[in-house]
Amino acid sequence: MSEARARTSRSASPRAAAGIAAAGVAVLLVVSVGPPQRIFSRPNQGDVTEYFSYTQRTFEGELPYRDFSIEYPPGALPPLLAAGPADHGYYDRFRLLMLGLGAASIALLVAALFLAGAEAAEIASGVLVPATLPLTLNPGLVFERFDLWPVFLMLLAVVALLRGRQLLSLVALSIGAVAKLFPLALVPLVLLARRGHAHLRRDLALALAAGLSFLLPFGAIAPRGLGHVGALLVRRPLQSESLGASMLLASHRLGFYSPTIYYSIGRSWDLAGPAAKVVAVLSTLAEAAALVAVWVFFARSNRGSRELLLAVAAVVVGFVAFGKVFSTQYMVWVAFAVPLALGRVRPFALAATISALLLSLYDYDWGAFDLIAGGRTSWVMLARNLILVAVFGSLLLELHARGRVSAARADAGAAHAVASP
Amino acid sequence: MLRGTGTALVTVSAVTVIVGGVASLLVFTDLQLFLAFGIWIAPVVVLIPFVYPADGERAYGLRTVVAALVLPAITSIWVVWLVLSHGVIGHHP
Repeated sequence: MSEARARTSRSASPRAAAGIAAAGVAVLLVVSVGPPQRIFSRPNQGDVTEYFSYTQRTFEGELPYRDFSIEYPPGALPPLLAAGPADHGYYDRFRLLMLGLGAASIALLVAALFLAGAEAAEIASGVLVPATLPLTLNPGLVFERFDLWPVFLMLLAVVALLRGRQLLSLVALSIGAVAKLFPLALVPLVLLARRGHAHLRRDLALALAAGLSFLLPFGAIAPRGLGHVGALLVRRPLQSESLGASMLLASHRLGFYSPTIYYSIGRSWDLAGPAAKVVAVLSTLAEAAALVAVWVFFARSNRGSRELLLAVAAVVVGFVAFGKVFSTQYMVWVAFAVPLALGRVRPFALAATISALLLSLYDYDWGAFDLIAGGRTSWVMLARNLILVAVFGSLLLELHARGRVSAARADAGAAHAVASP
Repeated sequence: MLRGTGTALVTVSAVTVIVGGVASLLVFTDLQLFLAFGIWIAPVVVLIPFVYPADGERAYGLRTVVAALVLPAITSIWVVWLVLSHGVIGHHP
């Protein structure tokens, strides 16, 4: 996976890539800080108030998981506590931290596309999707949640891998996986992308140690509190915004199903009842099948830098689209992952992602209560989720097509070798 | 037959994009709301590589541009209609 092979005469120059990264960061800063969003003038509400409470108790000497319950795994603690202490400035420091991670993620996205040999216009168009995220998604979901932390780690892992730093890549994913689960699904891609097996065991052991360094201390001191986090991950019911739930709610609109929606253990509005339980299991199976399909198609391709970026985008979209839990802020992961995809599918994938973001914005800002009541916003959610399934399908097909081209080239090479001994 | 289907797709897509664009501009008379909504981002994102091709060679053609814009256009029209029907235009949360 060398940089030299990926780059062509059409690829962006280093100066152009640096300019696009600077412009992307500038756009992010302007649309975040300036009107109409003005993230530093927003009321303090939502998940960030929970983070404030966690930080306050930690700074007062209490231990997370032992002295108070916390729903996030230990990898989430660094960004939550970094904005401390819990005083009147906590909220703006947290937003500033997320803004910094967003800017760094844009720089990493540009670096990944540059290393894969993307053209300047491709990089510029791709960067606009995350840089304008405060306009296409509620800014509270971008800067008052910690999702930009695992996104930053994911992109760091991708760039590290493209630069041949497999160990750094695995460590970044390992830390990301103990903050949010989705980076774990990228580990097989890193292992498949390696050339040769030198130091494989050492790298895996070090990456595992990085993840365990977050889990083990709390596991030893507060096993019950940490176990509660794991149980929540497994036991969370079918969330109202997920693909399965939106199909059930659409059935309700057609008169075939009667939903029971309640505020559940995961602090989200979920569906109860036997049908919802069956759909939740089917969703999880579909999610697993989607991830395996991406891993297999990536393994069958020539595993170059462009195939890697396609596979990363497909894994993230598949993880989000088919999961039984789909919080609106997961669209932040999608907005940073899809622009990695290069090739014929790119214009559709980028445009469809913006469609999905707009529908998510509508649901979050205007349709949330209507969705919980099983109203017509159910159709909006179904449309958003089907668009994401279409994006996933297009990325998978592109990856599959690249695998077939690689196989055909290998066959042609073998035939040529036989013909001219 | 395939060619006929392709022509029909391009025509329908072009009409949808035009209707979507005009609807967005007509409805969002409040420039701040229009900018805040981000409906305008999809065409910009798809058109940049089309308008500025590397070495004068385009990665994709007009048909791809139009096909890629169908979903955002339909989404824009639909969301605009939903927002209008809820009567919240001019009151960005």
